[in-house]
Amino acid sequence: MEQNFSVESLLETFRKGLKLSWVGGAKANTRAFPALDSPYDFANLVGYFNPVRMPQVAIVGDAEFSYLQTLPRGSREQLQNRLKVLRPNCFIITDNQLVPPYLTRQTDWPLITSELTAEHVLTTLRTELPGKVCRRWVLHGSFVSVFGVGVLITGEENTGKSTLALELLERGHRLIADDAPEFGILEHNRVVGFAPAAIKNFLSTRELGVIDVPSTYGDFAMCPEHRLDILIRLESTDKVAKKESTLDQPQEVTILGQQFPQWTLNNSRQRSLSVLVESCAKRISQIKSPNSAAHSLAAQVSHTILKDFA
Amino acid sequence: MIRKQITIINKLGLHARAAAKLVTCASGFTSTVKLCRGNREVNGKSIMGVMMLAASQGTELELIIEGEDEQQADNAICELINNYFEEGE
Repeated sequence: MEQNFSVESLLETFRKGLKLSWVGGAKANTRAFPALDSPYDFANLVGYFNPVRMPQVAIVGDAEFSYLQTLPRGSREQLQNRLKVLRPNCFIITDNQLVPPYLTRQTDWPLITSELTAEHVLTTLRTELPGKVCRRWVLHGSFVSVFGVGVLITGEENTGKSTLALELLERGHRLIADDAPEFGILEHNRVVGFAPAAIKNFLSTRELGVIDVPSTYGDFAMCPEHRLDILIRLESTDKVAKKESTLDQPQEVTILGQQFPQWTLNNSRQRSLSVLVESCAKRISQIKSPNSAAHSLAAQVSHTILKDFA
Repeated sequence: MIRKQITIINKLGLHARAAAKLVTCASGFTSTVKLCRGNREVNGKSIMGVMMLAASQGTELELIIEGEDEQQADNAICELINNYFEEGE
């Protein structure tokens, strides 16, 4: 069985940062978040406690707390029945407040408290939780961050993907994951790559074997997650012979439903591929908005002329 | 193309040494070898990919082999897994 992110994983991951502790419903700690496919699914992941539309992680801040405290006995039962239907994954009671006893009696509702404010907990979880619970796909290749641009190096076996990643590490760039990075789609259709838990921090090349990246290049050489921006496809000589001008015009490839520019590079010539990758990374902003300054100026002039004419 | 379910039966699961043996075995064939766990699909000839699956004892994996020598590759890989990666348990 694939291990989904559970309430217990949430507690472990954010325990220190959000000063969380467990107060009730410990039996339900293995309750898992469903893997979310689309960024729109995240809309109801974390939010304030709301009996009409309950988020999966329901935050009880001071306003919600006052509401729960002043609720008449009859309405409490109604609320409890409603919660049985809505089944939020867990409650986080913030601002160091005491948990209402009628909530702790429900042993199958995971209850967590935080010493921090509701706004702090909400903002942190909204930013960081989607990356933990999104559905992930493995793409074969090495994923590196070059000048802050996420570069996935792909290609057949023995085309030197990991060796190129190593070359880029030597030049001060950062590794997310070698060989089997996982990717998910987050808000605004951002495709983000992550280092799988089992292989993070390591890079393996055929010639040198396994390399411990933080021990060799320092902790900063590792990056736990990064947005995907471009792809570099490595190919052997025979196949690339006809494509001398690929660097000028990147192809468009689709990854998880999103379009990315891909450059195909020949790895068998005696030249520095890492310099070419750096160049591609530097050019990405220009490619996204070609001649943006010239376009803006032309539009501005046209607009002025039209205004003058009118 | 061969597509089949296979269970990891050895005590330590698909740990580093076992993964290395599996990759060495798979790399001896020209066929493509893929291993899937849930929606995670990795190249069976890549050590980091296989280790990334973190498959423990009892985990079911899907094995997909395609190529000229797929039958031989299938026999060799299944024998290795069912033989506890030659580690006795």
